[in-house]
Amino acid sequence: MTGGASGYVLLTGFDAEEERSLAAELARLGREARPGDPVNDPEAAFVIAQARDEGSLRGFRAAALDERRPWAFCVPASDRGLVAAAAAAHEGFLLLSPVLGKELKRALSAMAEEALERSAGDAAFIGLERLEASFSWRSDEIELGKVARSLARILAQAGFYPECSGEDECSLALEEALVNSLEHGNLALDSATRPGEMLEEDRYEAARAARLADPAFGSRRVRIGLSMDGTEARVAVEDEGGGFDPAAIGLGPSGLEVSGKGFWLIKRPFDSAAYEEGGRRLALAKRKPGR
Amino acid sequence: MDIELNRQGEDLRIVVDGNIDSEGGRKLGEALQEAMGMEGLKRVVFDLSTVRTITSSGIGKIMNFFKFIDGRKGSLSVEGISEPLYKQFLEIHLDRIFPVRR
Repeated sequence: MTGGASGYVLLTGFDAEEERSLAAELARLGREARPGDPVNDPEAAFVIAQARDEGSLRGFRAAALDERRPWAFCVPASDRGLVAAAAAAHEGFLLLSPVLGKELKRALSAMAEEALERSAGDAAFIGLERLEASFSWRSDEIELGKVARSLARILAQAGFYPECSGEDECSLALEEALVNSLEHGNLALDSATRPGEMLEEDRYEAARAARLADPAFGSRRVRIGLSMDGTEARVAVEDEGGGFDPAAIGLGPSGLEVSGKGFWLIKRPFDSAAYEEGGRRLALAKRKPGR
Repeated sequence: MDIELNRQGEDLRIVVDGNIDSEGGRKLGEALQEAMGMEGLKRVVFDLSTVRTITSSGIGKIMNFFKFIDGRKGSLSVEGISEPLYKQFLEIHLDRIFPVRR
């Protein structure tokens, strides 16, 4: 969508730093665009317009519709007001602009909430053709399921998982990876102590809660690196634990033993999955279907 | 995610509504602990019709519960399971441990 030479893309609501970054990115891609281009210029492949409120957003939308051209809103994902306004239009595409790394955590949270509130299919994350971001959480603050769902949503909306079941499997895999980094990495809970009997469940949960409450463990951070371009997405999940021997991971998904099932679930929706740096970093990669 | 425990005599039907993520896994663990406290259970049936995914921890909890009920000469089965979860269960061969029916 962003590459359509005949299409309008409204890029709105950027602050100065984002705008410079965006202009540089578009220049790198060899496309003509500059902040302030008029929305009704029929020759413009891209229109970057300042729309810092809902009123001007509506104006740009009306102008784009008058031209009867493909169009889209592109708003900073961190600006919930603009995201909601653009989503409410129920027309065209909603492009959530890539945000700076420091904003991504907030953006993910907002996107997860917005995605839940919107019906599927009325918004798409397309962004620019390349995204590099990294962010981190304290162990005692991270909401594993929410982060996993948000990341999976981004990858799905970027076209890496066109089917709903693929997004589900991706979310599950990322949550498994985050649980491992948190519990067996940062909280140093030995995977061999995972409950093998119902009566052991309470002991494991109590140990987990105690470690989370201990600043020596709870302050350790879980880091996520996310990069994607038109063909491949890469996700890295890192912890600050003591590492482990990746060769010790159970390989098979079958049998009564839980061990091995987690890593099998992690690998399933990705093309490659490998532990690096002594087990403290999990590198995942996924090629876009059809590329 | 919500869990209902419906007991009728020696039978217990456990209905799970929603995906079993890490938080849902904890709720499942609590529900299964409650079920373990029920005297005289012979047959336990899981209804997972609206569950699309389950974490390895959630699978572990079901398998641990299977060991518990199997050790008391009871039975566990899944009757009602979504298509993606059915596929996942077959791939990890859970159907060889207890009956899994759609």
